[in-house]
Amino acid sequence: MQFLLRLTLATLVFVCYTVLAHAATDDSGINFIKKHLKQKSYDLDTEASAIVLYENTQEQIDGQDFNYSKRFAYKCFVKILKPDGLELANVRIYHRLNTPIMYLKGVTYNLSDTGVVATEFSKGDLLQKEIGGFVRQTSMSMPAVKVGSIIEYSYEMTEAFTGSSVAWDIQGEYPKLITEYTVTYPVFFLLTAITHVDAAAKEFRTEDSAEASGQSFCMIKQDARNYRWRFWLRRNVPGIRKEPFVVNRNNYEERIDLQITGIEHSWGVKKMNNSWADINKLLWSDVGIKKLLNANNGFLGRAVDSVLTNTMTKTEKAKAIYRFVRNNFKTRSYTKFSIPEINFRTILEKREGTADEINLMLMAMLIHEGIEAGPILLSSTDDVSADDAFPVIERLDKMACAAMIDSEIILLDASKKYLPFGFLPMEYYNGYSHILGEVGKGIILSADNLKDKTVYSISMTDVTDSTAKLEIMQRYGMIKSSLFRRQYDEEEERKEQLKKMTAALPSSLTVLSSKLINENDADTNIVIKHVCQYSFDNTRELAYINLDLVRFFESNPFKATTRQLPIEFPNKMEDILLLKIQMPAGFAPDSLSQPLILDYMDGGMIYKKSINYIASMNTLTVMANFSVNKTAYNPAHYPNIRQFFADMIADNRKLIVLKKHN
Amino acid sequence: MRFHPFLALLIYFFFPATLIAGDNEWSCSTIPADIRKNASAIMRMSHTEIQINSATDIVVTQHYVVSVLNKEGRSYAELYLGYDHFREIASMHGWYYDEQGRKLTKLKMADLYDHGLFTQNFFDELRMKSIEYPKAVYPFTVEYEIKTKYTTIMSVPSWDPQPGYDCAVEQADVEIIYPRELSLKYRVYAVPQAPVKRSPGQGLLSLTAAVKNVAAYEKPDALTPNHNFDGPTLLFNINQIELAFVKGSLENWKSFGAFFYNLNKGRDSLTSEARKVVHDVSDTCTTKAGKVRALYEHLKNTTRYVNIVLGAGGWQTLEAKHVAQKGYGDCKALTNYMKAMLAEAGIPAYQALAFGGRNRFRTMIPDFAYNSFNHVILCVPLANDTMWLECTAKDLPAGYLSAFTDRRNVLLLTPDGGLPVSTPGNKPSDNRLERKATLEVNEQNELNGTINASYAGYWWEAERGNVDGAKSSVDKYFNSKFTIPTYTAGPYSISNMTTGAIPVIRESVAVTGVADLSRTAQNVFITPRVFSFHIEQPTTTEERTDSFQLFQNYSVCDTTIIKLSGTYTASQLPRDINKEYAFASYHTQSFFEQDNTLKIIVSYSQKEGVYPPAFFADYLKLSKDVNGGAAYGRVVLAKKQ
Repeated sequence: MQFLLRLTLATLVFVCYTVLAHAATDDSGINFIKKHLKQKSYDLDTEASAIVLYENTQEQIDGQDFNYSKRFAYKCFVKILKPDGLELANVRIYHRLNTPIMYLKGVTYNLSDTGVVATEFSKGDLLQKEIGGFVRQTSMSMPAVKVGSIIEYSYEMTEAFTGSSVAWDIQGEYPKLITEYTVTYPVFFLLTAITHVDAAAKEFRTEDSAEASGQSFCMIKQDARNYRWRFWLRRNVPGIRKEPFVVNRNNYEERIDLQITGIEHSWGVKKMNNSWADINKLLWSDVGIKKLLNANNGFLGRAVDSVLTNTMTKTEKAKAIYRFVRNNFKTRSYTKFSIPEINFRTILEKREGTADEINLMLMAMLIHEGIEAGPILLSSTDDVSADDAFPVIERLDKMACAAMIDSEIILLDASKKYLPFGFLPMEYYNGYSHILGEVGKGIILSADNLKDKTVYSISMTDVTDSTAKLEIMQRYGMIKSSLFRRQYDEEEERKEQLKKMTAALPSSLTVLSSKLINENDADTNIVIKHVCQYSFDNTRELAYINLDLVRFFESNPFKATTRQLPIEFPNKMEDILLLKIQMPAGFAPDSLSQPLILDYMDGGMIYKKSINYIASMNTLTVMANFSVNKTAYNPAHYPNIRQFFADMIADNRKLIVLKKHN
Repeated sequence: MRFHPFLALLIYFFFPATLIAGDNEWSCSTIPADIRKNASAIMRMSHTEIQINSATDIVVTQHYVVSVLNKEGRSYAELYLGYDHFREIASMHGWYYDEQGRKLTKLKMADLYDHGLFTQNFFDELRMKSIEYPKAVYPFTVEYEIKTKYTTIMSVPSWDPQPGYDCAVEQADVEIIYPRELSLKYRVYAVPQAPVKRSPGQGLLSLTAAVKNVAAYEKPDALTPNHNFDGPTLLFNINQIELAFVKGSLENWKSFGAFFYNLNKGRDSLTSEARKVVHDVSDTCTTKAGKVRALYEHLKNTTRYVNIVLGAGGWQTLEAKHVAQKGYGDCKALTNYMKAMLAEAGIPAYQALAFGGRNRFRTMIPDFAYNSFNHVILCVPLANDTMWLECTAKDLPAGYLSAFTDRRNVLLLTPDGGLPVSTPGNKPSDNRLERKATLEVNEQNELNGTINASYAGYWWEAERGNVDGAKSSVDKYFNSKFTIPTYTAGPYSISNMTTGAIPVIRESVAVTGVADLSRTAQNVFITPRVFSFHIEQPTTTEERTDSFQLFQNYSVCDTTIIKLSGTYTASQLPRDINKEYAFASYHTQSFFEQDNTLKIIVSYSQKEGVYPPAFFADYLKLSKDVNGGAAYGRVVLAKKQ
């Protein structure tokens, strides 16, 4: 009876809000549609291919005693402005296999001589199929859509609620005039909202007053006897552009996460997921990771016996164990993951496991050898960065290994063949991360944690009257090396890449040999070496040598003239070019450019170049260095950074001119 | 009887040896050395049995063994068995062996992962049963036996036992068993021994073919000629087909076309409302061509391409009235709708089956009918000319077929059956790129000026996607398209027009930036490259034994004019190049005029065709010159005193 009453009330609340939500567009009814059908562009984004005129998302959590359900309702009106925007008329909804889509409705509005023409989506055209074993794809292709149309669609679904949070993605690729979100939940849930919006929400008592206010960000809180509901409204949200040099675009998209942080029982409140300490205790102790890693894992010790010696230091042991696991175990794509079901014996025997299983086994092996180790929970750049002040569980999508040796934290992921010891995949450097343990520990992983140094060296020797031997060597930093191995993981692809690099050398060079060195050893720097013959015309008065045989940048990477998002480099870096030229007999430098230093933001980015001529040895040396020491800059810096690169590239392409002695 | 101890020893040694030999049938050590060359995997044996019981009951049993030699060959050990409305995976058995040929594990149907697929289609029913080989110790061997049931001959694949360029074949054979009343036609490629026909009795006939020791071959590149079949292939057809309760014959192109005509017959009726629209749109046009253009514009403005493959939907079109009402459809549906509208306007038109693709596309064999199509276009015969319509593109002008469908044989579907015809192609002069940069450079090396360009035909096809997006992406494009190391583009203007039936984009862009220029006390050194275009660059620099193919006719003319402040004499200008080959011509000229103006003119023209390997060295050199910008060698100017 109690359940039925609560359900009824919940439904009432839900229906009430559905009506209210529809009112936002129905306030002017067909006039809303007519007005927007006539409108050709919007000040919010005059270039947009489509614009969301109105969007409403409602989530209602219901149930009791760990048996909860979530009802999700979505409705939107989208105006198609350009042919590119027609893709929005092909709607795909992905949902659980056993969750039916309910109350699906779609209408396309067009303007004709007689007024607004509404074409309804026919349920007979609904298409559904299962994908990947547990996901269903429901597809609807909206009818009669052309540039200028408005499409409206809405649907609901109810599914088991097994998570601990819900989220509202306010911002996306297309601009939105109005977007609204409502969440309704039982009073016994404590919900914490983590707002990722630039503006502060102004609170209103009713939706009418929020609507009338014209405020860009509004919220309403109302509590009934058994339910609470929260309502947000956001206006004029620009679409997010895709721009280069952005480490994680998600961090710049507005959204609100709502996480359950407690349940009220008759005996009091059980708080949960409130702090990193809660998460640490839950996973380390309650779920059983501590027990799993510290069990009697003698068989793991025997498995790594052959790669260890008694004289090894802890770091050497960790390296040996890491390499053993990385090089000998295959990573299976993700399937069901459950701590109690992990069996290290099976993983060891099959020589395969999921990324999480492999890393947990690595931890157990390290612990068995007396090295402190534990899982590090991470949010990859696929999602918003985790927050050090509050653990939003949904954002934590990756796990790796943190080993503690001599008070230094060493991060390891043995599931990726291309990673050297002490490095994680680039996308894991995404802000706050948490190492599980007796007390747990938070660390920030960012682009600033990573520094890479690539050296380009060019030497010209064996000079004759008309030819010289030119050796061009590129020694990639460890990060660049691992990215290379990751991108070209097949030998064939690496061969192709080397061919392309060789073909890109100036046609004036005759390439004698090209080699890719260390391509398979993830713990070493990749070296690319070309040996070429350089020919020059010694009958001419002037000869010149390009400094840009290896270019830091082929052209300015900052193409756009305007910038929406901050400029972020994925890591600190230093590129060094060393050039040593034995001059052809009878030639000397015509004139040498002055040393140049470009320094942006007090060492944030530096470009330096100096040229020296040693007359006694008839040798010329050039040293150029480009470094990024500060990895993030706000958009206001964009014109200056673009100019910095322009100046550097112009200098990088300058010639060394040699003149014949008289 | 008592054994002599020696005999017992013999038995002891003999039997284990026999057992090992049996177990090690697939040991990798027995692979002949000569067949390993360039191979990542070896098809040790492949036996395919195709049992055609009737036009709607075909059972294909494949039994094959592949040894994977290295990581690159791994995909040959993996199983991806697609199935849909017309084919069902009836059974599967698999065995894995180690390098020595010792059996490791057995695989059964239940071990396969059965799942729906994300595909390029908006919606389809394709599902897959798949498994990846779990271990990574090379070499290893897999053996599979797969039985698939088909309900239409259209879905039965041809026999091509070499699954990829880097997979050699030790031995492979196929046997097709079919009832005597089903006349079977076949065609083989790269199968040295003629197939053998037999009569096994019981009213059945059989055809067998086999190949042995087929070597792996060079990876095809962008210049590899458009062979339909890269390895041994047997195509076959029977004189009966049934699909969606429509019966027909695939015996020749006429009957092939007739079958598809009938499969789609009667699906082109329009509602009275749609018929009225046709008249509203076209009745005011005075010529048939005008009506076609008006209706084609209407089609583009009111429909969009959405690919939905359901049941026979891969072969049979959605009804025209459905498209009229919903405003979407795939190539068949949009073409059928256009045909229906034209019929209402009194203009007959015919659908044409085509294989769409810009370069390596499958071509029809004139005297052998088989399914070599993946697309449908529309042919509208008019009094003086025939107008071809690509009904899925929103930006093509009426009568213009892009490189996706032009210059190839297609099959017209007429009431009298199929009729092979050729689609037209552009003349080289229609596919023309013309660009002119007029720039000034001051003493501080600052550069400014204007770049005008005209992209016609083939070049229009390449350019249109770059300039019809949002302003921010067009900005980015203009700021990256020229070979000036650092510059800013804008303002710019873009106009889209049609010259005859050829679409043209004209652009005018203002640029400011820094010239690629170095100065000494007496000299100025300029790299005068503003433009680049690329011809196909061979991936191999080694001698080519196979012919090579250029797939397009086109021409380019780039003019670069750079005016410097000050007065100079030219110490060094890029060497003029004048190359005339059977396949292309390349001419460059450099001038230094009026003591301050550098002018470089580059023209390139290419003729489509297949060229013998003897021409390859010239092509290789040409590609290096064109792509490397040989026309834009260093310019050295001396200051005038």
